[in-house]
Formats: sequence, C-alpha cells, structure tokens
Amino acid sequence: MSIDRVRELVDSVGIEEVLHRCSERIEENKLNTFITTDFEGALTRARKRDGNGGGRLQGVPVGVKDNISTRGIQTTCGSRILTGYVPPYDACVVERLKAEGAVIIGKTNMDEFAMGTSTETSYYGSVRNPWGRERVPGGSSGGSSAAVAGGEVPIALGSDTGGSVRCPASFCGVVGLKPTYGGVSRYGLISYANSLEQIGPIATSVGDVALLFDAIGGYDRRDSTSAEHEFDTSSALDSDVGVEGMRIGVPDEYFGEGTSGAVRDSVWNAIHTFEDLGATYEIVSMPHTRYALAAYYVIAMSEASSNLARFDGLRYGYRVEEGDWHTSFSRTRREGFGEEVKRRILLGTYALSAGYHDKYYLKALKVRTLVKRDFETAFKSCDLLLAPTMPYPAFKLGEKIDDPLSLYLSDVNTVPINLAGVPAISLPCGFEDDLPIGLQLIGNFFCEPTILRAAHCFEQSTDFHKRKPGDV
Amino acid sequence: MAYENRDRVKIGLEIHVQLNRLKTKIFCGCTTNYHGDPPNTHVCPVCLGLPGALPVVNRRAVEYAIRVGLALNCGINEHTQFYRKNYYYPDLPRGFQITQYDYPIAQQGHVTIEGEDGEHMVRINRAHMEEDPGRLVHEGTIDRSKYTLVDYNRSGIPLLEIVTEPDLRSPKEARRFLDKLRNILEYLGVSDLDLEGSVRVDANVSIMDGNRTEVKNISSYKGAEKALLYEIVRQKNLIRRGKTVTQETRHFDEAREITVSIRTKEEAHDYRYFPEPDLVPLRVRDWVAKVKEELPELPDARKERFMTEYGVKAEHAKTLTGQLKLAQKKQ
Repeated sequence: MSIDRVRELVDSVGIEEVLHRCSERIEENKLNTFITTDFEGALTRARKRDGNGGGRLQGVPVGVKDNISTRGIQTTCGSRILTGYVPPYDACVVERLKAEGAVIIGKTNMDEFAMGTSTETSYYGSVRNPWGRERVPGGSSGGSSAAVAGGEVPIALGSDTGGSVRCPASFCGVVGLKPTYGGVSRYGLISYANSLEQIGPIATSVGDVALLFDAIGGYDRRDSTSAEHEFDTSSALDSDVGVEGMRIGVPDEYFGEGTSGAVRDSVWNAIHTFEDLGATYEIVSMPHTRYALAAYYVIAMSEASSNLARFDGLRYGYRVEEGDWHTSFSRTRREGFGEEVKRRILLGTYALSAGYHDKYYLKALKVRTLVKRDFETAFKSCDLLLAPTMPYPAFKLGEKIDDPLSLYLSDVNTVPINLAGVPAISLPCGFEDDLPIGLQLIGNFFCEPTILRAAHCFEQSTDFHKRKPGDV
Repeated sequence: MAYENRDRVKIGLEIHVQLNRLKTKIFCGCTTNYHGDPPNTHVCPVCLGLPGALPVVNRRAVEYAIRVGLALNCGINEHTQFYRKNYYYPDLPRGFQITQYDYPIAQQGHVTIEGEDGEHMVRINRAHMEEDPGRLVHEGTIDRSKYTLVDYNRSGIPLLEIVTEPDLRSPKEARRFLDKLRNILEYLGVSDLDLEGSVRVDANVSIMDGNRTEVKNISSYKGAEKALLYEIVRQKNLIRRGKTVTQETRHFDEAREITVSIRTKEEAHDYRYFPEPDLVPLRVRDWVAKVKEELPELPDARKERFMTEYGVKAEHAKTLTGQLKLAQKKQ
C-alpha cells in the first residue's frame, strides 16, 4: 500500500480505523513481523497531532526496526538481553518521523543485534516470508520488509550493516535503500558495526522510499559521522529527466558461481530494459570484491565485540542476579545473548587481541581501502552500478541456519557497498518459482538522487512491483 | 655538583587531571559541576552509555588540552584521534573507555624543575584526552561492604593524562615536578585542583635498572612522595636480600602508607585498542594558532619578568610566582 493511498484513507475513514486495519492485518498475517506493537500509544500520539499536521507523512503508520531507540516503547534488538528495556529517548530518525506526522505502531522483528541474513537469530522467533510462509524474509530487517510486503504498514525503517535492508527487500519483493554512510543520523541506532551501518527506508515503491528517505536524512550534530548534506530525492523523481545517456556499470564479480540462473536472467533483462530507456552499459571489473566478505566480517565482528560490551545487566535489560558482579554479569551475558551473537563477539575479540590485531583487524582495514578504490575507479566511467542484490531468492526456514558460513556467503553482493560507504537500492526485477528477485543499483557517494531516479524509471516501465504476495 | 643517584632510581609519572574548569563533559552536555550533588543526577543517554547514544567531542576540551600541551612544550598533532580501550568494570557504562592511543593531542614536551642538582629537565612523553569513568560507592569499607553503588555523575568528566619519561630521580623530584605541574595548570585556568578527585597519579618506579612496578591510586601530591619513598625502600630491601623485583601493578594504601600487589605482568590486561568509529579524526591545526594567542603568561616567564622588570631577587620571584594569587597581586 502506498503512502498516498494511506493518507487518503486517513482522510476518509480516520486514523483510528487505519490503525485498526493495520492491527487486524498483522493478526491475520501471523508473520511474526513485530516484537512490540503499541496501537494505543500510536492512537494517542496521532490524536495529539490532529489538526496541526502538515507533515509529509501525516497519519502514516510506520514500523521501526527494534534496534532503533524509541522513547517509551521497548527496544530489544531482537535479543533477550534487552527484554524490558524501554529507552528514555528517541533516535534522531524517530524524532524526524514524528515531526513529519508519521505514527509509529511498533517495533519490527530482526536478527539478534542485526547479526543475520534470515531473521532466524531473533530471540522472539523467526519471521515468515509473505511470498512463501516456509521461506525466510531475509535479514536482518526481516520484520520491517515482511510487514511492508504483507500490507501491515506502508513504510518501515530498517538498518543496513552488510545488506540488512537490501537483502530482506529483495527476498520480500519490496524496495529498500542503504544510504550513503553519514547520510542518515545513527543517533539512537543501537550499534552493531558503527563504521558500516546506516538506517534505511523500506516501502512498496521507489517514490515512497524517496519520501521516507528525505524525511529521515540529513545532518544531525549528535552523530559525529553525519554529513552536512541535505537530501531532496523526491524532486529528483518528479523531474522529466530519465535515464537517457546514463552510463551503467555491470560488475562481473557480482555474478559469481552461486548465482541462480533465474537471478542472472532477471538482472540481465533489467539491463536491457535500461538500454531500451536510453542508458548504456559496460562490464566493469571490481577485482577486490572477492576479499570484501572476509574483511567485512572481521571489521563488523571487531566493532561488535566492543559495542556489545555494555550489556552487563547492571543498568537495564535482562539480569541474572547471582553472586558478585563478575558472576552476575557473565551469567547475564551467557543467558542473554544467542549463539550467533556470542560467536561474533568471540571472533571479534580475537581479531582485536594483541598479537592478532595486525593480522586480522588492520589487514581488513587495508582490504577495505582497496574495495573502496574499486568503486572510485568504477565511478570514473559509470554513473551507477547494477547487480543482483542476492545471488538467489528467499531460502527455506532452517535451511542455512546451522551453517553460518553459507549464510555469511549469501551477503557477497551487499557487503562491499557498506565497506565503501556508498548508497545502494534494491527493488524487484523478477521472480523464481513465485519468489521475488532483487535488483541492486549502486551509486557514488551522496548520489541517492541518481540511483532513485534510475530505480523509479525502471519501476515505471515494469510490472514486478505490482504483483502481490500469495501467502497472506 | 652532579647528583649521584646511587640506587639509579627512575620514576616516571602518569598524571590524570580533570579539566573541571570546563562547563560540560567531554562527550555530552551534562555539567562538570557535580561535587556534592545527589548521585546520578547529572547524567544523560550519552554519559550513561545507553544503547544507541553517540559521543560528540567538546571543542573547548580539545582547546584546553592544546593549552596544556603547549605549556608543557609539547608538539601538537595536526590530526588527533580517539580510541576505545576495552575492559569491563561497573563504573564504565559502555564496557570501554574513550581515550587516545596513537595520535594523542600532545607529544614530546618537557618541563624544567629544580632538581637534586639544580635545573633538571623532565621530558613529557605525551598528553592525551579521555573520559573519566563513574564512581563506585561502597557501603562501609571496600573489603567489608555487602554491595556497591555506582554514581555516574563523574562519568564523562574531561580528563587529560600527562605521561612523563622516567626522568625523575627521587621522590623529592617527583614532588617538585607535581608542584610545578600544579602551578602551570593553575596559570592556565583549566583545572581546579583543590576539588576532590581532580588529580590522580600513577607512578612507575625502578631501581638499579631492575624491573619496574606501577603504583596506582595516589590521590594527592603528598601521597605521591610517600608512596614513592615506601616503594623504593621496598625494592631496595628485595635486592639487598638477593631477590628480584617483580614487574607488577601495586596499589597505594593511603591509610597505611604502603603499596600492595594487585596484579602481575602475566595478568596484564589486553585492552584491544582500536579507533573509536563514532568519532572522526580531528584536524586541530587551525585551533593551535588560536590557542597559542590566548595562552597566558606562564610561571617561568613571569618569574623572569619579575626579576628583570621589577628587580626582584630570584628566590622571591619564585615564591611570588609559585602561586597564581600572589603573582596576580604583585602584578
């Protein structure tokens, strides 16, 4: 459902009825998309704003990923260790959503601390994919994507550390944007890997993603890594400029061995669609792509091992009260964190330890520089890059969860973008066995208007986004 | 006559100074004026380390640090960076301390003191910025209390850690150095050293080129001299009895005026330092010129001036400039 349609509904049937329908939809769907819902609070907040609204998202219900701080609403990161934690403050993006009149109806399910590609590591249970209930929705923003795809909310926020917005957008057949690093304030986003992640919008159309992005993006002095840049991507879509003359780079390395035939075909069809629209393409090489995955996991886990040190049960969340402080905090962490989180804390601690620091962490940083250079080189001759988001459509629940390495490998086309810090969008471009396939458009730093405009043109000339999921 | 230093005493100091003349904490807007207030009343999501809250560097704190660096004749790094020092302690709300490691704000300076044999130069290795942790409050005494409370009012108070080279040759020289430092800090107006907890000293001590020990928890200048005297005698006695000094960290028990072992080298922490990803490196070159301009006249310069301008005797000039209030009166 589009933002425009929901705003019409709010005007015709009223906010209470719209919220009621959201709530009903969530109950009927039973996808386990939300960890916490707060319809009562949502209604109170919406009523308070009645009359003084002029916001671009006036009355629009929104789902917020559960690693984004919301004042007065429990924020768990999908982890047991944060059960009962109710933040006393709003994240920057939440403030901005509220200022635009959006109504936060709840917090969406996710992989624990955003560590996963399938939303199966959540302490609060797996999320189901509306295109096939036995399939994963992708991750880690699986709750947000499935909620949007399942018609529960028109828009939602996710976060993308190594593909966590684009992967579930791809698997759920919706549109998701990973902004330029520094484009959206991270103030209030509970860190998994600070140097890689960004909060990103998820919606059913490119236009809605642009609108949501404009609402949340831009400089915030509380985040030192926030760029002094204001975005107006919506007007980039309104203009008559298409993709005529746009130079598209197709990185060879993004069509690796594991890529399914249907994904390959759909993405090539997309390339030809862009050609028909007046763009040109060339095959480009990004030789360091093969090292990106390893570097990504070393950096992400290293940062995570430090970021997650604060969860000791002393000040908030889950606590085992037993023995002295050492005993209490180690038992709290043993019981409070799940397997995958512990694995990453251990590996990250190892990578930063004396004697291993240079071998792993420092080396990963060097690889990161090389990966970044690949992009710099590519953008000298291209306006944007085009590739599959994921090598395959949504896999089955339980299919990969016991094989972490195979799960990590599925991020191969998404993590280089986070290492470089550039923006990328995923949008539907085909189907394999009735499961959506995602197309990834990658732009240069702060070139969100370019990739959104290209995505918009593609959407206008294809029907993939019109198809509705069968299992809800 | 040159000082003999028969026992080859080598002392290096690490001095933590609260930059408590700043109005706000180093990474958030909470007040630094917490003394005497109820616990946990000057806190916010940032200094409580709440999930998702991010630090922002207090520009004035950086200027104060540059001020001290210049006064200690240090070079100021054009690019300075914050790091995470990872360790668990209940007074540390994030599970790591934001501090500096490579590229500290100031490096390689020196301070001249009146040493055992006249003027003596003490080299400064570095001065770096960091945040103060919270404060643990024990019910009764530390070894007998049933529980411990944490007060985060102090969490995030701007600290400057000043590290000297092991150039001090006696407890007396250490004391003189600390007095001189106090004098300089007073002139700079960056810190009120009379406030409780405003200065904390760790001392590295070795004799006869043996292993060094690190003595922690020295909270006063007088304490520093006492701790060092004790520690040197302890090391001497060990060597006299044919034993070797263990490289270890020792705690100064102020009440009993002795040092006690708290951990050996084998138990040393691995702090897993890495650059703080939430703070971008600071380019401070343009600030340095500005801070230099605003730098007040320092004790040594004022002493010289009193002597040449007013014909004051060296001894008197020293007394007069030894305390800021007296020096201002004379002015």
